[in-house]
Amino acid sequence: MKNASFRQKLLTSFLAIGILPLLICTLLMLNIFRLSLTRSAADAAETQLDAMSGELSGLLSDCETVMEKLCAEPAVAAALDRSELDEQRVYSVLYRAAAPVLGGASLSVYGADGRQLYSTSSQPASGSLSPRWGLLAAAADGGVVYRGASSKSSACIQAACAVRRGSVPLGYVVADVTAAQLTALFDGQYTATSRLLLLDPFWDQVYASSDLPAKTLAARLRSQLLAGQALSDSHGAYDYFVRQEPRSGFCLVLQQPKPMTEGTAELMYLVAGLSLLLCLGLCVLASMRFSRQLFEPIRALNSAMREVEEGNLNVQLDNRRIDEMGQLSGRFNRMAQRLRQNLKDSLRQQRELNEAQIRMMQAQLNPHFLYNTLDTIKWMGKIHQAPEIATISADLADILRSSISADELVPLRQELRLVERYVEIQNIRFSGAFALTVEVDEPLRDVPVPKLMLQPLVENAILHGFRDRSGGEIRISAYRAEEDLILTVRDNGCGVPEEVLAQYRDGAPRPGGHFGLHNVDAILRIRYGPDRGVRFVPVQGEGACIRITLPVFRKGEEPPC
Amino acid sequence: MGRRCLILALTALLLTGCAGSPGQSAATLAPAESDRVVIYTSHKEEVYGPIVKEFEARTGIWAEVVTGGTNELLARIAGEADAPVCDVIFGGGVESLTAYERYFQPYACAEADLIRPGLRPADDLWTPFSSLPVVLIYNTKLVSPGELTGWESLLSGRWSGSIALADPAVSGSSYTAAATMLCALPGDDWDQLDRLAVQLEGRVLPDSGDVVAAVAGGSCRVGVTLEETALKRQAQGADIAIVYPEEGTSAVPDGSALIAGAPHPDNARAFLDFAQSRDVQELVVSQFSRRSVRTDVSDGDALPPADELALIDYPVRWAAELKDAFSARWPELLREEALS
Repeated sequence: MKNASFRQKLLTSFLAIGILPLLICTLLMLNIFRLSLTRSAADAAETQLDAMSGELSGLLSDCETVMEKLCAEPAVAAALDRSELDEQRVYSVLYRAAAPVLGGASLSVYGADGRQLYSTSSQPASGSLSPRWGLLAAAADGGVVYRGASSKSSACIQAACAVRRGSVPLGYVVADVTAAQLTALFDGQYTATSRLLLLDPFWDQVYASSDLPAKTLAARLRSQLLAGQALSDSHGAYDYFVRQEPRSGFCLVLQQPKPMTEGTAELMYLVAGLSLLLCLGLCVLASMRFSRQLFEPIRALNSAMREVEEGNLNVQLDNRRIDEMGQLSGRFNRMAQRLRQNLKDSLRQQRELNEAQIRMMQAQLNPHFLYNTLDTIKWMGKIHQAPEIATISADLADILRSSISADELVPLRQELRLVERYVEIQNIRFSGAFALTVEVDEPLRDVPVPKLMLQPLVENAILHGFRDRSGGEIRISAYRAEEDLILTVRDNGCGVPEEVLAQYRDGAPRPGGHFGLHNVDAILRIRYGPDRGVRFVPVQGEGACIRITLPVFRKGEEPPC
Repeated sequence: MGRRCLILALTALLLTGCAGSPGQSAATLAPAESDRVVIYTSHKEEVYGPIVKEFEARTGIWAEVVTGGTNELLARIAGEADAPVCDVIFGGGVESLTAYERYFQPYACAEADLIRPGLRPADDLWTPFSSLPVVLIYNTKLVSPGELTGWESLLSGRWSGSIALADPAVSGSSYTAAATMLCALPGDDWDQLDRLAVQLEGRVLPDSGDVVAAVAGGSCRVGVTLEETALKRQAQGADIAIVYPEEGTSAVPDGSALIAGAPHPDNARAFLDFAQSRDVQELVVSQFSRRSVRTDVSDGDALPPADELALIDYPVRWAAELKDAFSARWPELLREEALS
């Protein structure tokens, strides 16, 4: 599951949500339905069994009453010991006593030897019963006993009790209940689709409703009872309900068709299965659709990002949606746009830097030759007694040495000395008296600063500030404000024209007449950030004041380049 | 894992738990284990039925009856020897029982003293149920009285090809008859068997029930069977007469036995007692045309008394031990005769 794709997870979730509740619901419903059907069928069967058991009990109880009455009847005892030979009198006693049960049972009197002597049954005498076996043997022990009748007899149930004189049995009173009488007794007590079995206490069949086939069912039920299995037939089409009649111990077994036949159950399971399948199909369709809706923009985004990864920043996503996926695409488009812009900017900066470097390299063309030449000029000046030539050559050589050195950062001290050389040259050139005042504390003179940074500022003051003058004062001061070194170059010249001031105020000066100033500004911005640069500070009186702000680095610390 | 188990359990509950069990109330009617006895019987239903029924009614013990052929049931008992299911084997010739006596435990019935002499085994490993003399029968329309007198007359050559005998290799009673003949006649056993095969002309009947039918139906003139079978058919009106062989015959009982390690030994003993009780033995005589094994129960009035039958002392153990050799040799004898 952890490795499954989003689509598979979505499908699984849809299936879980769509199928599981339905499945549980269907199973529950089917089971509840089946259960309630089964229960109502069982209730009906139990009610019917109660009624039939009651009927049987009533009949047997009536028989018992009659039999006990007959046993106590002197005429019966007299008939049995042959002292009363008037058959009609015996029969009249027998019929009178048996009147309450004659519809449900027939009564007979058997002799002690088991011969049938008198019977209310209209059927021919069923002969004799063994007094040492079965019914009569049991009756001899006392009380009323019940047996399922032997197959030879037409009766189904036989009850007997002994007529005694003292403890010796004179004979027996026997009640026979035939199949026809049982059929009449139970008629209408159970539904037409049910079948009834009457079993003796040891579960041998005594009676079966006429539509029940052979005796094998009773044998089957008996073996199931003994094996502790639920009662069933070979097809499993019926339910069985049992009720034991308390008086005789006989069992009534009601065979009732199962409330839900196999066919019905199959149909219901089929319908449930089909609806589950339908649901399954819908789930698959819906999850595919949703996953496509979700997955398509994600896939587009994914491939767009891969293109960006490979360097194509011109990717744009088709963005017509307004949902979350739409917002995501919009953000991606903006991000790509921003990246594109950044790349363009950095390319431009790189190009500018390259150009400056090229210019610088061109400027460095064969400096040693120039340096040696200057040295020669210096010596020639000295030889020819022209000290100014010697001084200019020496100064220019110094400036040249500084400018061709490979270091980009030099101590402020070196920059100041270079400015002094420059001013010396300019004083000779213009026969002027440019006074340079340096107000820098000794510790600050070791702060590294970009090379050739001060000279253009001083040059700017001399070329532009003192354009129409033959003298002036230039003051360089430095002080420290927290981590910044602040350098100001102030002159008392004619000041800076308003359009140049405006350019530097806006922060992006164009190269114009103040070429050196512009270079310094560009170097500072590239090296230290766009907010560093050349600033013109308003001054009291005439002249101009240029301020630059640099971060202070001790020697050895690397500037953030 | 736990969750999966829960789901499984829930599903199982859904599928099965709700189903009502309609047989529940019946379970309360099932007898306790102490009220049961398992009986393997080779008797016919008409014999065991009333006896088992009466046994149940008198004792309240439920009998589970398994029916089958004697040898089949004995083989089953042998197979179940490690965990016996059966309590009592009821029925079967005592030679068959003797062959399996290591699966029985001895039990002398309560009234064993009243058993007729010669019928009670010394070791009490089985108890006799009824006495079954071997008899010869003939068709009264085809044979005159006095023509068939005994074993020697049966082998005299007069009845060649017309003797009904069930295959002794298959039928227990027929084997008893053959062994009885061997005991009654002098001379070498195998010679006698050869003579018998010659007289049979290699033909035997597949089942002991067919003998009486073959004689009564006239396809054979004489036959060898048990007195009980013959009497039963005679009572049904078949044209057969019974001859008790003059050389003597056997009255081998069929019996019952208590299985060693029986799950319900007390109930099994109660049943064995009952099967030998006077009431049942009287039933044996009056209903089943058999002879009782008890001294105090007289045989049917129509039957010649047992002491007039010239009963030989049938060596049960010898007969049981001979059976394997017999089963191997007899089919060969038959085949030779059938070919010639």
